[in-house]
Amino acid sequence: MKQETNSEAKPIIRIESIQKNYGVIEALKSISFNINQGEFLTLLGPSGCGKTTLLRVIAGFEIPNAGLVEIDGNNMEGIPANQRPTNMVFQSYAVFPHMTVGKNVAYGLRARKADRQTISEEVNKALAMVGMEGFNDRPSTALSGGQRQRVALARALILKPKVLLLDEPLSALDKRLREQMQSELRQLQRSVGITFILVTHDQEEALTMSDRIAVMFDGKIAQLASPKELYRRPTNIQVANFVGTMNFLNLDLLAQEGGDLVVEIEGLGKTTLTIDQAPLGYQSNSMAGIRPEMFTIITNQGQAKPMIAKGRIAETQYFGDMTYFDANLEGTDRVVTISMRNSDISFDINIGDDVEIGWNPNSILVLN
Amino acid sequence: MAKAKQSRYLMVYIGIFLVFLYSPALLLPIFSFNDSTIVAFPLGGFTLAWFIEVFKTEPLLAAALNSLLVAVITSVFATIFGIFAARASTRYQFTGKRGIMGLIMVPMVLPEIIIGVSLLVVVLQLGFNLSLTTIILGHILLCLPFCTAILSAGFQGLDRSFEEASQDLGRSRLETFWYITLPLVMPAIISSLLISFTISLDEFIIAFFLSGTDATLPVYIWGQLRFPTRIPIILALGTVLLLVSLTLLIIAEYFRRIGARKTGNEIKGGLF
Repeated sequence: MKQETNSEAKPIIRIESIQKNYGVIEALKSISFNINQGEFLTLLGPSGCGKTTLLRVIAGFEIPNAGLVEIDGNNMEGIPANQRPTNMVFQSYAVFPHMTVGKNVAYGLRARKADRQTISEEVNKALAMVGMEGFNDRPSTALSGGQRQRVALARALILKPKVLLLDEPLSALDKRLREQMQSELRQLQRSVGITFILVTHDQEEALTMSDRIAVMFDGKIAQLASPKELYRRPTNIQVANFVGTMNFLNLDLLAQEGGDLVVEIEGLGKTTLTIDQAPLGYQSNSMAGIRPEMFTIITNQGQAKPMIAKGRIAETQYFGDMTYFDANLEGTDRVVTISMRNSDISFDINIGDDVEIGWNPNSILVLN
Repeated sequence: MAKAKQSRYLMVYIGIFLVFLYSPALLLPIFSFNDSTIVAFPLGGFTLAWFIEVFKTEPLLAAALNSLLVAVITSVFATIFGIFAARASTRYQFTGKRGIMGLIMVPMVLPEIIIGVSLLVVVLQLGFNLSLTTIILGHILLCLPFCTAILSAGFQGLDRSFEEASQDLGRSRLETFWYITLPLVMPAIISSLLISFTISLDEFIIAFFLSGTDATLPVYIWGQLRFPTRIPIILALGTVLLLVSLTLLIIAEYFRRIGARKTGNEIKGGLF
């Protein structure tokens, strides 16, 4: 696992060799990483990868079998959830049904024995922050999903936690509301300056919201990087497959000249790749990875064409601004996905058409 | 066509079924207003005398008071123990859980006469005197499975993240139980209290074996059945009890439904 180091940011959370077992199942396999102050970090992975378990270890709901969680310099061992400087937004929101919106939001401050004046001011501020001013006396059972989400947020943020933990908070909302909440959450995080840790299985959500993303598979962090880095330079086939779409082609190493690799790529032909296109080197199971937008179907003869492969269109999918093509590479049974902006296509491309596919050697990644 | 015919037969069957099930209970109020000591048709005149007699009979009132006392104490303790058992069975994993929960449920299927006799032997062997206390102990044992079943359903329907959210917001486990768990399972607690109260109030066999000099109402009634002239009074008393029981059951069901709605569960089965 490669770690990014940012010299000016100081870690608010230090996680060291966290191990969590359920019987014989290892849910977390010795995980270590730091989370920076004020960062929006996303734990991304398929269900069962351990991302929620890791979040619950930080919150204090799960006790790790081994390892250390440090929040703001304090060891959290033996400190129960109610004494940790973290607050959580639950997947089901867990807005208390027997209390009004105002009582829900005030719940944590009451536990701290704050005086009534302070509580009522802070509740109004917190509700205003999530765009729900005036909802104090509404019964919480009469709220919509999005409103419940906001109440849960206000209820957690009113305590000014050092870290806000969000367990798939948007998964229960419909698409439009989800997208709206994504941008609101991001803005809220910037304005309050609190460190957010979000758990999600939605790679698009992770890419649009996060400062950094930790991709988890099978109880381990496969890659921890910024969204751009993660998309451009996934460290292995598993990550590349999970984040965005990636075409994989068979690869043979012909020669190694200095740092460069001379390779034969299935359907694309012979080319030379630099060493940083293969950060982990060439192995017998290596594949060449290329994103769909890195292919171009040549529609204009004057167009610059670094390298050309031939193919036949097998399928098209129209998305308004974009079109996705599946093309069968000539001389192989490999089908690659090509995405094109419709504004760049100057004539109709139909199923069965023979086309020239342009590609650039420096957009290839060697992945294991 | 065939379907309509079929459903008509079905309606007839349901009608006969309901008549056999409930008509004996309906005879009770009818004869309690009958102006005759002989319980038989044709009916005599209408009278409220038997009801007045009920409230004038001292030992009957004493027995009623005993029953009330036993039922209230039984329902409170059975419900408290039921809360412990339900909470443990729905929230915690421990060895022998199934076995222990099974043992709690056994009195529900064991013949009451066996429970009664064995409790009598134990109580006498231990050297205790038979009293209302021994009846209460027997009734708690009998009611516990019903309370545990009702309360387990209540605790099961409770989303665990409510309790976690409360702790996350700074409340201790005890405060969480008090401010979140109890209010959310309150409908189940009220149903449990009412059901155990009703069971204890009209329970005869265990009360018969374990009662000393103080009789409960069912034991008193059984004693009075030897005197034919007293029967109309008993019928009047029965009518009163029928009304009380029905009212309590309706209230219990009402709270169960509120509970189901609160925890967002579908309303299934139940009494009505």
